[in-house]
Amino acid sequence: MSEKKIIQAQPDSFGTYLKKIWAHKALIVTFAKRDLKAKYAQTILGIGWSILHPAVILFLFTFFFGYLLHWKTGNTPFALYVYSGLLGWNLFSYIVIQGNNSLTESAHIIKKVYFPKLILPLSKVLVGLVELCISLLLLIGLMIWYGYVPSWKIIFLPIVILITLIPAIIMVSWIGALSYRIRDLFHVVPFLMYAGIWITPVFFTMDILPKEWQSAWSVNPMTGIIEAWRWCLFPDWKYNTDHLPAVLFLLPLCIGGIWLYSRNESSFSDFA
Amino acid sequence: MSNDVAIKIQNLSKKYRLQHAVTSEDGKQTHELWALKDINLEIKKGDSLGIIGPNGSGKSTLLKILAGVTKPTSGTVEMDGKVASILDIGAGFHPELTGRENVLLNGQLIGFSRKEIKAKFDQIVDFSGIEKFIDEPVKNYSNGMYLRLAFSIVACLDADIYLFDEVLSVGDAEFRIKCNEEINRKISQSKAVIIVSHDHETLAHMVKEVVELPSLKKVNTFNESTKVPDYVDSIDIRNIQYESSETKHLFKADLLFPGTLDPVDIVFMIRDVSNIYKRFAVSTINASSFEKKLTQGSHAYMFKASVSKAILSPGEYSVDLLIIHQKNIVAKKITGCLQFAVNYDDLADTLYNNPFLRASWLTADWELTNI
Repeated sequence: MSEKKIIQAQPDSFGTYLKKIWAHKALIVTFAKRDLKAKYAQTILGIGWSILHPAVILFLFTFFFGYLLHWKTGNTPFALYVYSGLLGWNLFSYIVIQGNNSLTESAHIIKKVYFPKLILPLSKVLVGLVELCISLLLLIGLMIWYGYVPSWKIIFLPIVILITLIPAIIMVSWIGALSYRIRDLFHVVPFLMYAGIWITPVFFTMDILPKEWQSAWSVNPMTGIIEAWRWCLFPDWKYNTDHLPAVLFLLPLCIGGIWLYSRNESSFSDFA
Repeated sequence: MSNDVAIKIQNLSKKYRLQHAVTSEDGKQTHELWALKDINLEIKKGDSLGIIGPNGSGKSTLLKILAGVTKPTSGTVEMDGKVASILDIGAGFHPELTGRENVLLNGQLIGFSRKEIKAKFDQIVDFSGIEKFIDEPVKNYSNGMYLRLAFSIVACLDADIYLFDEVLSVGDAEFRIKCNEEINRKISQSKAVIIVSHDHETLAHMVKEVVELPSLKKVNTFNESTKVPDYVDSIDIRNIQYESSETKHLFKADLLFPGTLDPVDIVFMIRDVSNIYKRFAVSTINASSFEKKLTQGSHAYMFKASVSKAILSPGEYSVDLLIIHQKNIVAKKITGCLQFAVNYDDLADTLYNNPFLRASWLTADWELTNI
């Protein structure tokens, strides 16, 4: 009977909030498992969808831009180039879209049961990582097909994957923390994801942009991150350090987002 | 906060913002709605509290605040112990997952670890009585099955404070009795139980105290003025008897009252236990309030209810004796103090034995004698 607690109007302090998330960490896994199970329940292909989906997108990009338009990507085969970009971009956009939907999707739960709400998007992060692991199988297949051997730099891939999560969590926490009052933000997410793939070198190289415009693309932190994926995967890939400053800005934005989320989340159940 | 207090609510208020302006009490246009205003309430360990009130009186809001789902606008709640709540049938159940998977999910949502849930899993399934469907996706469950599973999870996992909103009215009679017994058991184990309902009658038989929202006065004074006096507790029930002949049912109870007495109701509650569809109170014989002022010393009374007109379907019946204080507090309850059966030899195997066609009804004359 030592579990004393006090409920009051003030939101939890940031430290308490992070502790609460830690205490509920098992719930992240449970929600993620729930999502994965529910996603593949009663489907014939099951987990195959997680391969088929990126494979089809990859085929379309490769067919139109690589085969019909003859875009060149240096020493790297075009399909491999596009796929290395898609992996990071899909992880990012999956978490942003699903993370923002997770509150409305689970409105019936957050109105009836207490837990730190950040658990919901965090569980989507986990689902995104599982999907990524499945998509990586196709990457391995492509590398074998093209006889492409990665260098020692591949050991940095897990770190790059973790860095990819940061902008995703930023988008989810800032939009999540504000969208319960400013509903417009719900409309911004699909739009941003649609537009984002054009301001991030996913299926085109930075060389096709005029020199003086390239720095504009560098302002987008996803550029630096997608390029880091390629630096890890392709032995002779040169990393353009112009992309780095934007990436460094991510950490304070991320902490700020989670803080804002922690201040506002108690109101979610009243607005959901 | 002293050690025997489970929940202490101080000056609790909750304001909601409305999308459209409404006219407030003082005639001004406002977007504000105070769902709760300055609520003070203390619930001790081993207490059971029923909260009633019309729609919009804030009873669900209060429970939501206690469950941590929403934050108060001002005021504090101190709680001592683990809280388990059912604010909705199967909140947190995922329709695509099986009952088994949902037990794990729901248990964790309430705040138990996987280990704790797995240790109690068989007990939960057993209590719910739906073991046949436990590996079926819950989207195929009926409302009753949802409730059975949801309540079983909460019932079998050990919390210290239990919160129930309205939900218990969904199950069938058999399960309702089971819930009732379980809630009584929790109370006897010094757990605190709060039940919200709009049905005063249900609550009166379930909990010790009932509070009405939003009338603040009652909430504030309830604890002091209408607490069950100690002497009601010490009413000695010495002898209970049942006699029957072809046309007459007679219920007798010898009660020993120790001293001064406020109004109490003496009630025989008759339950049909032979058929699961009707395992709830089919009839009650209710003595009009016993208002005799006793002054000093012990007084023994014989309460005699003779049933003058009765229709009782063939079957087995169980009788509970209830002493109800101030119209709504069950001061004393003896479950199953009498059993009797009704048989009509010439009606065997007829429609009267059809569970859907059974009916029971009776009226009684009460007699009170000094013994």
